[in-house]
Amino acid sequence: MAICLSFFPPSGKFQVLIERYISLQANGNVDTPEVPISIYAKVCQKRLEKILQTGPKKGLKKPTFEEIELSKHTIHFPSMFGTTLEEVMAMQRTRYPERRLPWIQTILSDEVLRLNGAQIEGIFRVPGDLDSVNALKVKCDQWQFPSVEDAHLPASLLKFWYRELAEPLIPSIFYEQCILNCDKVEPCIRLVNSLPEINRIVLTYLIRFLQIFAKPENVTITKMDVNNLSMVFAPNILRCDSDDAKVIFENARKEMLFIKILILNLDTDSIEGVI
Amino acid sequence: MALRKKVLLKVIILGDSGVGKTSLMNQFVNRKFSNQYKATIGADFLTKELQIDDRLVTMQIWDTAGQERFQSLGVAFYRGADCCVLVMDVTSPTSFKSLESWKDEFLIQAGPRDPENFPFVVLGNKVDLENRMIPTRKAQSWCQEKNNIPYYETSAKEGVNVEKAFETVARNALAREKEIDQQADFPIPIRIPQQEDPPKRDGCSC
Repeated sequence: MAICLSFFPPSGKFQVLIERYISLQANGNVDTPEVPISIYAKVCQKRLEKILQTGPKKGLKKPTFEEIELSKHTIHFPSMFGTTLEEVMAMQRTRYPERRLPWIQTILSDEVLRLNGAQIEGIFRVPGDLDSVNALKVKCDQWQFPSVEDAHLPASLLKFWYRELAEPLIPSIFYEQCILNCDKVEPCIRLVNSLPEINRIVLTYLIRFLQIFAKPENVTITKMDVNNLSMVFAPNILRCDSDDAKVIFENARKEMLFIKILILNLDTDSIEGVI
Repeated sequence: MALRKKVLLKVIILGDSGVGKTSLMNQFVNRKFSNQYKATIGADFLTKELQIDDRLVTMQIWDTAGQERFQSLGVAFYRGADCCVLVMDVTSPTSFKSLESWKDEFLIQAGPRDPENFPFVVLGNKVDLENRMIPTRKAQSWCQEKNNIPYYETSAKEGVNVEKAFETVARNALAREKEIDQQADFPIPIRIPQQEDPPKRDGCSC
């Protein structure tokens, strides 16, 4: 059931039944020493919630064997993509107890810089090869980091990680305020400082990272000025809940302005040296 | 059809970020090329009138942001499209590889009648650059496999083949328009009286 739920949503009628069934299994009363059913039930709960929001994962296409394997694997070894920041931090606690930032965030960011991403045209705009990005993602989920040569690969995966967070980096309850204040410096900065601690430091790290790319000596080569950087990153930081295409596109400009204000004005010195 | 009504064709341009979608549209509509490197916000359209044989058509060309978020946003924009232009950059193998998923994405979201025969046109842009990676043959054979999609090699910068490519877009969209017109050419709509109780159906409706 957990595997099915990573690919297909139930129909409306079936949804009610399946939700009831899952919640009965999730309380642990039916666990046996051999099979901890509640673990599966909890995974099912999460996947059901997600697939109901996103719709069928592959549209009309069949899932591949690799995807089915991965879906099975992640029942017991959850991915650090598509989770919340809290879950990512919990996942790395035993491995990296001293880290304050998600390992995946810092390692991908460092890799982009190491591969000279700050001097490559179209960095963060031009997508990396999809298969190679996926291969890198699979490795990262096993806490490995293979050496790659193309800066667009970690750059694409980094954007993907932010974009897929279960809750947007700037949580939904703050969204309206961002849109309303998108042209005023002070309220934008204050908003960042009022975010939950983990969101605040992860965002500050990201803005500090983008400030490197926004330096004139890099922009001449990358052609990614602060407008372009804000444009391509806004959808990975803020998520518009509206279904109305008109609202979405009107807000897109405001989301971009908000990110631009942060890149130009946010004091990110406090995050220096933090990992 | 005695009166030839004015035709509006909705055309959608899709492809990876940075392949030149906006530049192609600007070259076609305004005959201008800007060296400015600028990511498109959301989506925007321009219109251009065109004479195809004896018909005057207005092309409404939708330029879309290649950014990932807008990929899942298609429905409202893709619906009602008469032709879809898939663009790749001949210096970027990644953008060539992505054509397939852009095509699938479009068909899923737009849900056109008769998807097998929906008119696509593929453009290999940036042929003015020297570091070309996708040979003409490779692109052509991909297009042939996909039910013979017309393929053009363009340079939005130098205005090479842009006009010709969009004319093909218009012609193919128009051909399809005619077919649909004929299908929908019922003189009087048939009214079905409303029933109080719809007859009960057996089983599920799916």
